Amino acid sequence: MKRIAVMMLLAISVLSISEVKAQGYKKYLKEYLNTQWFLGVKFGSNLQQISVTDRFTGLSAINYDATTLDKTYDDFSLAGVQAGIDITFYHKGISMGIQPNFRQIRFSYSNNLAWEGEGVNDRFETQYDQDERIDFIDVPVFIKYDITQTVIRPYVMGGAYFSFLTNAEKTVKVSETDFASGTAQTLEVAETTLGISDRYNSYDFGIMGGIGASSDFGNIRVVLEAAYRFGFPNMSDENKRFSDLQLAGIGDVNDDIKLRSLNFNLALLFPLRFISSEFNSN
Amino acid sequence: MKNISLLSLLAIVLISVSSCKDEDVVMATESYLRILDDQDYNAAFNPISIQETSTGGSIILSGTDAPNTDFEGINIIRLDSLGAYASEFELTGYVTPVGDLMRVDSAFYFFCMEEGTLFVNLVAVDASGAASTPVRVSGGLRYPLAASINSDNNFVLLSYDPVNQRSVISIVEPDGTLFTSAGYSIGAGADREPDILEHMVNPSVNYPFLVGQDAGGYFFNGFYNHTLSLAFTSFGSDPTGVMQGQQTIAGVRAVKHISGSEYAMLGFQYDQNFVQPITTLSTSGLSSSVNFFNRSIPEIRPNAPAKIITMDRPSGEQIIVIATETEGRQGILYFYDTTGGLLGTHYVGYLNPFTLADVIATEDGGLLVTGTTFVASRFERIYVSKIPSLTIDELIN
Repeated sequence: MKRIAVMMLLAISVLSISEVKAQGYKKYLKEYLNTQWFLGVKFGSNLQQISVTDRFTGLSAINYDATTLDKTYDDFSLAGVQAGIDITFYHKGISMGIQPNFRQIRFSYSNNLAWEGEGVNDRFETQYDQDERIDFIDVPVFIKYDITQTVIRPYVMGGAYFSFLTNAEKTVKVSETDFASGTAQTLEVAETTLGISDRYNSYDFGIMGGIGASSDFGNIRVVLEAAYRFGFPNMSDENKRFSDLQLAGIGDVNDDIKLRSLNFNLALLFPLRFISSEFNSN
Repeated sequence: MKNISLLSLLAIVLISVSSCKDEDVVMATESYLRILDDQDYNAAFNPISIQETSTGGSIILSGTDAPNTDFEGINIIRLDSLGAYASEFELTGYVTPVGDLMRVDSAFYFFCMEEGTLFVNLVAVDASGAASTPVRVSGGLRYPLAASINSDNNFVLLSYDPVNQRSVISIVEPDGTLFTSAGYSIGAGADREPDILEHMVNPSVNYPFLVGQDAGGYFFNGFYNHTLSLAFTSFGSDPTGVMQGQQTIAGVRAVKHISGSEYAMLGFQYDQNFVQPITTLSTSGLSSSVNFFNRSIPEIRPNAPAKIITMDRPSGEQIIVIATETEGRQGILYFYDTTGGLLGTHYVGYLNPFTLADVIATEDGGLLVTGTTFVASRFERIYVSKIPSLTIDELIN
């Protein structure tokens, strides 16, 4: 299904480009600055915020506060990346288009556990630091409105996106603090990387909004943008929550989470009609 | 053109979303793995048996450290329908809880010993996990070793008589009345009391005592005639038939009557294990467990506990589930059909060691497995794994 979707997108792009070329430049000469198709590249970085809708743990507390088992998410702490193509139709200050791209998000969380006995040295603590990376093929569609028609054109934008998960993995670092010798001895005891694609649903979708600015340098339109994404579905696969036993010993199972993120992009766009110094957009 | 593009994109998204939807959704009550964590550095639990309550929760019978005795104390843990800890009840003054935890209507029963006298007592537990006052079983029975429920909802008990040096099989009614009993000599001049005591105070010894009902009578796996033997009985003066092991180094670790003269069996020969998912056993005469040794299954850990159950699938098919432990310290469930064909396997555990204590079929067609695992590689804690019916269907089909 993912391959069919990508192929259809490419077909749409090719058809659109062909149509533009077929028009002939004379008919649209006057409209060049006001109406244009752009094709370009987009790349940037993202910072994740995790919205937890329901918490789960593989451990069940017998004689301590169960909330101590809750994961602590570090929002906006790890930078992910995205890169792809940008197909934009521009008309009199309004742009709309599609930006298929590869996108990797990253986020981290940690757990702490402690055990105590009657003896002063009967104390042991563990900390699990977990970094997760999820890869998507991302298909956002957007509309932008230029606030001013100046050399540098600030704009506001909104849109929606659909993402196909292609891979997910995590790195777990385990550190332990043992008080058996009378003083705290902390050791980094393990670091392992595991595939966790099965823990997640295969798609994400949501809406986005943001601000940016564009300017034209020769035939190149340069776009800088910051946008916030608001994902709707629960990313965790409820059916697989307890079927992955790799980290069962530390009680690590997925919470129900929704992905939110800040995205920063730089796009370089090339007009698809009249690429010539004679029609320099400046 | 623009409209066509946008409509095409919308179609792609809708098709993709619909294709991503799962057709079979497993409820949170149908699938979970919970580890019951106690913050006490020195806490120790030894799960023995589990039963499902009528409300979808479960009750775990567990051994635990008891003060002033080497015998195991008694802990009863109640879990909610999601497998999370709900409450626990510690029964003091009594030791050595013995499974199975047996369900009659809404109550659960198990046998144990009085701490001072070592007489066998029967304990009833309600659905809230609270135990009633234990009732001493009549007949002066001591050293309970294994128990199960029979078709009349009475309890079949295997115990050891240290005075007359006999293995004793009894039928006990839910009020603690001894219905009938028969004792069989462990062999002239033999004294198995030290072995029995070691079994009771040291879980790593773990002799595979068991008792059950078959088509014609009852059977027990216990000491008889100098060996650990599977004996068949109609409560006569002698067993009707015996499958002998070799002292305590060969014999049967788990057996389940399937139908007629057919049984499922997991046996051991020194440190090798073998499985007979369906085999015919003679309930009369003398035989030897080594005659059933077909091939060694190196995956199974020597001296691993084992449990065999049957369960009916929604299709009407009956399957046999043989649960034990692997050399890699995982729980393993082998699924067989009633012709002995292997349908699939399921592992419990991955990186951490997991042990097996009990497995039962649940009302919703799943399996409930309990045992222990090690949190932070050092704290042995009880786990409960609910395997959903959907997963079992995927395994066996």
